[in-house]
Amino acid sequence: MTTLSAEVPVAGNPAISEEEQDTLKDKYLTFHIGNEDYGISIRFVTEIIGMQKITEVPETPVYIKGVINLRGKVIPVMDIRLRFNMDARAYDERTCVIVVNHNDIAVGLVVDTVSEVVDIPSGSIEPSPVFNTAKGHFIEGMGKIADEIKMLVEINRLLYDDATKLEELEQRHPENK
Amino acid sequence: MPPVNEDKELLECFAVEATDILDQLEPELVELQQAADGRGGGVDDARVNALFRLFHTLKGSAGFLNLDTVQAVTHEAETLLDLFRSKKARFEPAHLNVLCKTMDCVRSMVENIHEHYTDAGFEEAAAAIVASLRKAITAAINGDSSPAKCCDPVAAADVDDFAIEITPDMVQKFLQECTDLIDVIEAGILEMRSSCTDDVIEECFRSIHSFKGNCGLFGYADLEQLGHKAEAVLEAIKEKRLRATKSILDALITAVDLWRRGLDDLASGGSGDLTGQSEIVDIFEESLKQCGDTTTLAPSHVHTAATQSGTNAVTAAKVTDADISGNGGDQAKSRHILLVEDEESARRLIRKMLESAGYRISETTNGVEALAFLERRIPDDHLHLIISDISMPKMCGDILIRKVNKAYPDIPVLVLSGIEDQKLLKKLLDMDVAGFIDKPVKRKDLLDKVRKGIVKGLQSNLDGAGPAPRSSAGRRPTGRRDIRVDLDKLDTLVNLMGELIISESMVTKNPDLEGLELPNFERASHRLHLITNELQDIAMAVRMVPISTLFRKMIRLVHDLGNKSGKKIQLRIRGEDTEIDKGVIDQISDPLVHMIRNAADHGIESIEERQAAGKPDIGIVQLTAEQKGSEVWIIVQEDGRGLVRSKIIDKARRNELISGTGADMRDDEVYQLIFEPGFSTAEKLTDISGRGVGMDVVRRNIEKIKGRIDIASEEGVGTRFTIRIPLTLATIEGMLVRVGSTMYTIPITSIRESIRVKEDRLSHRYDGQEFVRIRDSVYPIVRLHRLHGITPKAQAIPDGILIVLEVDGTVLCIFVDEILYQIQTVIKNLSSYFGIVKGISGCNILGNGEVALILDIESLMREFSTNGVAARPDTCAATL
Repeated sequence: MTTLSAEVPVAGNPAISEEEQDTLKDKYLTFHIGNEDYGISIRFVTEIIGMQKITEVPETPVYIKGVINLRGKVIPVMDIRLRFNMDARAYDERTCVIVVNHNDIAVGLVVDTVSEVVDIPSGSIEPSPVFNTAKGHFIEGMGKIADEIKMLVEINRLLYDDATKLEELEQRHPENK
Repeated sequence: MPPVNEDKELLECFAVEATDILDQLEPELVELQQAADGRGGGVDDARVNALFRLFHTLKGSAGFLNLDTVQAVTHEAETLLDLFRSKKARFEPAHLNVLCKTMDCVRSMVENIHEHYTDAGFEEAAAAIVASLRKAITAAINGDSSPAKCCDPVAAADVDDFAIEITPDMVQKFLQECTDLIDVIEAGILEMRSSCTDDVIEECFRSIHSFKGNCGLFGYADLEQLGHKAEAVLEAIKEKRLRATKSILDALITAVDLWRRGLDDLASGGSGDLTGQSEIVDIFEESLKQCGDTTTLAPSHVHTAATQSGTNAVTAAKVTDADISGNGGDQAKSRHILLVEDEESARRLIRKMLESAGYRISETTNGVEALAFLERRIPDDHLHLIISDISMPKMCGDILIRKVNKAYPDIPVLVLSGIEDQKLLKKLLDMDVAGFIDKPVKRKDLLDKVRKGIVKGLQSNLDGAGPAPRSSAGRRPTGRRDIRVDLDKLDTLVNLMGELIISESMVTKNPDLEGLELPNFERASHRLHLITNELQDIAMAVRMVPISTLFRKMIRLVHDLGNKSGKKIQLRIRGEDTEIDKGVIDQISDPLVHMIRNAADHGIESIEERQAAGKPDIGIVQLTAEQKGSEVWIIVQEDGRGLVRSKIIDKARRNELISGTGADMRDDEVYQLIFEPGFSTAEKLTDISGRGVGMDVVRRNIEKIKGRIDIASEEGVGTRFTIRIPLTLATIEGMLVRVGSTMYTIPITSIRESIRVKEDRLSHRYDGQEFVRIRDSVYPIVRLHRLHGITPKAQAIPDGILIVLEVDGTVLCIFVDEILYQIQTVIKNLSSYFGIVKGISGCNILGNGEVALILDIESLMREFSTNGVAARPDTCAATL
């Protein structure tokens, strides 16, 4: 396995002190999907790894690609493209897995490519436009840096939106029934 | 008096100890009742005594810690039990209930003590219990005029030498605790020699007190008696009535040695009886007698007491003393030898042999006398050698040797040993012994060894250094040393063990090594493999505990259930020493309670119903545990009304659990329906069970630990539930197979065979279901790749391989691309993010770091049976 960007600080675990939490508060790890830039709060990110052999797990939503072995720990891997209902794209050497830790559960997020860690003060974040919320509800806000827009992902919804999960399960796997 | 802060630790200890005692009490009590039923209110002496002691111990500890409420309650319970013990009253079921209530009350107090360090707040409840106990006591005394043997309480209290029903487990625990206590006691006594502070005495006193209590609890009279005296002595010292002189401390140390010996004896299956303890007891008593008026004790105290107690034996020593002066003999040969032997004939024989060779002999008959002799002898009269027997009354040879080594390092000791003393001999090897003379004694051997022994003694004298004191070696730990470990630490150990196994195969099966010829590496990795395997076995074994604690909890449960429902139910327990993973025990506790409840409530009929059916009044619930291969079976069996097939089917149809008449279902399939949510056939609801919740939870809990439940039943005869659970949750032996690029691990226990078949063996049903014919039987095929949506390498059945799985007589073939190899691996969870994945019970990491999924064969089978693709050979054949 290849660790791509070592400059990303290891964070996202509950042991972080409040002070550190503060310094991490406005920091976002940005990544590309298609032509768009997204951001995820650095608080949840533990590491970034290269793509590795994924073992498929049956009876799971289609965006759950399966599980990988992260140094002896088996963690699920979610393809963000599929989660966003976008078309799948073949993995290449730029494809990365962002490992996030939320409520003590580690999950890998497959993204097209990771770009950088940026500061987005809360003043520069606009709430997600109310327009068509049903489909865009994984985004909690739009971060503005110079003339760029980073769409900030709400991790809880990304990981746990059960309604969508169930819906997906029903729609994508009818052949398994 | 509110407990002071530093007592907290003691109170905690008390709470733990008391909980243990209560756990022991409960089953004893119920069994007492059952036994009493059998003999018309007469009670089993051993049981009553045991109960009495348990309450007594509780009372004692409570009094010691100023827990007045606990003490008050236990005191009354003790009084009541004493009545049964002394046969002054008959044991009635009502008494059992009062005592059960007492225990519940004590238990809640103990819980409170554990949390808040006080028994305050329970005065009212306690008062109520005390009142009902008193009532029971008065009623028992007045109401019963049975002509039972009325021995006076003093005599009754003497009935001490009995053996209560003690499980090896209990003894083990007892030994463990007592060894710890003795270590503390010994350290304390040794410290008292140099600094006799109140703290030291206090701690010593407490330890002896607990030790005594424990011994009493288990009915080891000798150990207890000595403990009792030692306690009294220390109490006197504590209260400054007695000075801790050297002689007293020596006697205490001797007592410690005796206790150790007793415990060793117990550990190796002996009775724990002591030899020579009466001597020490005498010394203690003498000291206590004197402590009223004598403030300073003569240092010669030990042997005065000894002389008094063993008069006739000492006379023998005196007579030989007289002989000494008269015996001149050859100067060179005139060596003085002390012979310590209890058997007169042997003594005389040896004496003759030695005297004929010109040695000067003194005789004593046991260790205590020998020591007295040593202290008393004239300083100029050099003693050249001691010849000592091992097993003697009063003080045994090994203790004597230890003492002699300590006090008179210049005198060598020869040991007379018979073959019966093998165990002691081993111990002696750690001490300084000049040699061994085998019994029966041969003249040449004797003289030879005596000469050598004397020479050795003289040499060490010339060197100016006696034999190195080996007392520490003599106190070497015995085989039953163990420590209590935090369960979390243990889990971490087991987890790390798992990591180690994975890492090991990651190294030894590393893809980088492929195609390389590395004989040295192979050898090294083979060795590594052996070690990790052994480590794993040990790590697993550490987690195994006997199931008895769980089983014994059920005794009280069944008793209560019987009382509530008005039925007579007897619980029989078998195989309670079966060992099982600690995690599994925690998991099956609730389901088992549920099943016992069900057995007692639904299974066992009311007395009238039983009589009508011509069955005995008493219903029997049998709880069995046994190990079967890599599984543990826990069987709950009752002789009740049995399951009624038609009723279950009716109910299932009403609840739409099944479609059709159910006529084609096998009995065990029908019985399994009772595990469906919302299923209950009980006609009336009771407060015990019967609301239709429960059995589904039972099954879920059992499945959580990868177990399952089989049911066998016959209407009117009874029902048997067999809970089958894997021995351990942590590892699995499996066959690694590949489908497309996905790896699966199939538990080896469910694999019957694997087979590659030709096209002509296959049949296709109109709906696409495939079947294979293997040796006259026809089995359905499940294509794993279709089930899990994988693109396989082999599409046609003959290109791949069929794995024949069998669970409970149901057979199913799964089709995979290829079989890779057999693995033993650590089960990992599939991340809690998933919740439960159907058909997959977990995963494991392979040598190359890839993840393989562990197939859940049970659920696979279940899914296929309920989908109508039942895999029974007969129906399949019919379909074809």
